Amino acid sequence: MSLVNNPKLIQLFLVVFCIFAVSGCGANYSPKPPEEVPFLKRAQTQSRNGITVTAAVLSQEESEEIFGVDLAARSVQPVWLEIENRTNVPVAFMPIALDPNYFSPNEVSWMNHFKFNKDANRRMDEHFWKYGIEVEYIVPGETEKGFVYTNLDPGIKFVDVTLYSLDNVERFFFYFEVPGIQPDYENVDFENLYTEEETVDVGSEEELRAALEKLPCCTTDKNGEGRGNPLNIVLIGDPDDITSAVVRRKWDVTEADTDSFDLDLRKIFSTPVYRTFPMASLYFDGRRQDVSLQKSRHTEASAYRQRNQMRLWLTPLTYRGDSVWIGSVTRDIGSDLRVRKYWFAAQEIDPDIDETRDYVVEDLILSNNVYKIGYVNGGGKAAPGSPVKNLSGQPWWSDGYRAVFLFGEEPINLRQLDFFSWENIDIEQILEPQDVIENENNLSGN
Amino acid sequence: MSIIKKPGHKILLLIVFLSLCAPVLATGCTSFCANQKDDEYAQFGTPPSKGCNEYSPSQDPLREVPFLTRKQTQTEEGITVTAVALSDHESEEVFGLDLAGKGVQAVWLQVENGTDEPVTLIHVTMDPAYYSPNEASYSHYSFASPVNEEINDYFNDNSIRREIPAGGVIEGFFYTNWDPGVKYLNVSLYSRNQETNFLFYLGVPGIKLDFQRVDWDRLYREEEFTDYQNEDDLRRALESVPCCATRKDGTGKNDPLNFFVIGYTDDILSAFIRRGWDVTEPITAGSGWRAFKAYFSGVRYRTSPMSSIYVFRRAQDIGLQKARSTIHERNHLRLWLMPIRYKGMEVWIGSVSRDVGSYFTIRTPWLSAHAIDPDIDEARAYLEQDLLFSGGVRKFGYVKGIEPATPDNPHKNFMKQPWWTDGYRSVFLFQEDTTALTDLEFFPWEWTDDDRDVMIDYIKKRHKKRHKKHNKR
Repeated sequence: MSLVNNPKLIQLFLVVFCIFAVSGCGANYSPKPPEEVPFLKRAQTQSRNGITVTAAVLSQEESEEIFGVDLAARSVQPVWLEIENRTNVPVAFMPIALDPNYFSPNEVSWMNHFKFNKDANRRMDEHFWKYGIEVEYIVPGETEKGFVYTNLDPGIKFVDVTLYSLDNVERFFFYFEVPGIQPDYENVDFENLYTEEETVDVGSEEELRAALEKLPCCTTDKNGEGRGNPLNIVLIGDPDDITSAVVRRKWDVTEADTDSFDLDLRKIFSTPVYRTFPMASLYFDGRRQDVSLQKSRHTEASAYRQRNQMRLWLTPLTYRGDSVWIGSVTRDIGSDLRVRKYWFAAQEIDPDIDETRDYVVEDLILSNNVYKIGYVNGGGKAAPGSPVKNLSGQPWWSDGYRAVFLFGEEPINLRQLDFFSWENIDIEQILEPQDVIENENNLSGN
Repeated sequence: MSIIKKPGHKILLLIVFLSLCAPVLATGCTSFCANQKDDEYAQFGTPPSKGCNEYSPSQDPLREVPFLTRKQTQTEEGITVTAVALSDHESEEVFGLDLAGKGVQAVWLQVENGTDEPVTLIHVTMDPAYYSPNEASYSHYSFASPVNEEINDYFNDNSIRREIPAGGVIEGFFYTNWDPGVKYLNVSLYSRNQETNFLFYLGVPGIKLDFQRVDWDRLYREEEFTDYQNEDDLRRALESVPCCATRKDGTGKNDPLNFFVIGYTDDILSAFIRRGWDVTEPITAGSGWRAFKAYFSGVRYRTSPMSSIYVFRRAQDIGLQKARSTIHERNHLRLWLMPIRYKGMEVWIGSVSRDVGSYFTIRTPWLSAHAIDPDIDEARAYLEQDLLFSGGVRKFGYVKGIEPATPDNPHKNFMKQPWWTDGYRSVFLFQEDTTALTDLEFFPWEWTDDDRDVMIDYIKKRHKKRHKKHNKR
């Protein structure tokens, strides 16, 4: 028969067979003990009241090395923990605080089982179980260590280790940069953004208010022209405190936008929920946003279509030594069909920009790291009846206020929240805006 | 992906992209019309459509659609909140569009501010990923539809705002992520002097729930109940409960009965709902079909029916579950009311296990079954953490009652699936007010929190029983 004699067909058959043998049968399933993989060099340790916690997050390659299967493809991210109890009471580790939907060892193993290899599957069960951490009380003097199998977070992983002993709850917070993606802020040379002379430190609230009101209303195009989205938030504080607050509120970092088709399309179609999708460039002070953050709907397969976006720029201002960031928040409500310069920018924003700002205000306050909040003038103003169009031709309207947040390190509760006594958002004004910008700067044709 | 790096291929890529998208665009154009097909409406008995180019939502939703019959009202510190969660059908009648199909559920809210200062309604605590009005309406945007603006206006005009002036009232719809069966809503109101929280558990009609088929009054006669007054008697009663579920006729040994919950039903269920547990549909033709579809498409089906297992010669009274993103994995638990009371409170026995996946079998008529995690105590530990974090548990403890087993010599259920345990069952006592974790009390049974050495001994004993893992290291 010619079919059998066809060498190409036999070749194809062999290739298919080989793929089958490797992927389906697990003949060479060879996990490694964690000690042989040097991930602990990224570990962080915290010690308090007799309890010492060491934590590390595995990268995709490391977890594949240790467990012999591609866990990231199943959205599983192992977190290594080592908890040492030097108190005189038993302490319970509660992984539900780390991830309310953490996986059990057998669950992760089951989803990675090979189709036809019982022996490899049994070894896999044992491996996941042996190196999984025990959800148990740790008696005085003992150390418990192992992996918690969590749901995958790209970019920055927030690890909350909550330990409960009879009349006390100790919480340890860790933040890890997860290798594998390149966040856009890594391309920014923060040290050399401004020279020493350009930096202005303001010491009083009134000076701060005046300085913030003077900042431009909106983003621009690359040449500093036109009017894009309003610059409607200001974040003040130690960058670490700001980062930990936004990460705890589940904002994700964003991959560098290369301004070209140079995108890994595979990611869009293969990643279950693509939470770090690049964001389009907007410009302030002649440069693209320094930091892009986003919060996408994790349930959507097309997460990048419905997401909140936050773009931040470092300003030359400092307030009592703390850095001042200006930002623009918008809510993507879906793709639209207009042809754009870059197709991934073709997302419609919620024109009710203040709704998005209110959302961010609520969200950041609930991080419990915001100490003080207030509003200043200076953002772009437009009435719902006659919206401004941004540089992509999308309409927006706003009352023109910027929300100003002052961050601190220790969490506070909502009752302790303080206010800058500046502008009062007046309900009547929201309903009937007095000042309406003429729609002369309609740059949709750009 | 090297092809897209070459600039010459950009146009090619665009063509490919557009040709891929053309069918999607076409459906986008027609989807609005398809929404209004007569036969779809016929089954709900709503008026026939007025044609493709008209958008006809309810002009007066509060009068035309009788959802307010289910309204719940709470008043605290001068603020009155009324809430209703709309069913899929009701929101289709109000908005003239299938919101549920886009994962959106409308909640109607009214907030009356009887205090003398302005109050803000915090949207994020009600739903951290709520939909803004424009976003909820944009999912119904279609390319060629002439009524996009009308839809947008309707969603905005009927939405609820945030600020409530002193003495004022606001009302309107809030667009949340879709929940089946029971909607949990934490309405948080903030003013400069106070923060007031209202917790709502709103019934969502549209699906049958498994506990609705139970005839609660006939389960037990009043004289069958034994009311225990002290903890020692309670402990003995709980320890003597059989280890496991049985066949319908009371024989055999199926899944372990590994926890007890004590309290008033409302307090118990609200703690579960707060922690994201979903109610369950009974096995019917409709739910079976949805489960079948979910099995093959792998999508999430949050209220999918559970198989019956038997205690007291009857199937579970209530099933609760926490689904992951697919139907194949979930935590689930079953509860049976016991003929026991503790200081007047109800006592339920439960069985909790973790589904790790599904497999092919000839032991069920539908040829597939869920594989459970054989390490049954892992699921129990999950439940303990979850309920303790709910704040609804006042007192917690352990009793014996199951024969311990190890992986080397496991128990087996009726599906021939192995399971092992240290033999303890957790006991949760619920109350209405929330308890901070640090104020939790313990039943002085297997350990006491007064004597640390006893507790440490207990834990070590349990470690040893559980398996040899600790010795291996």
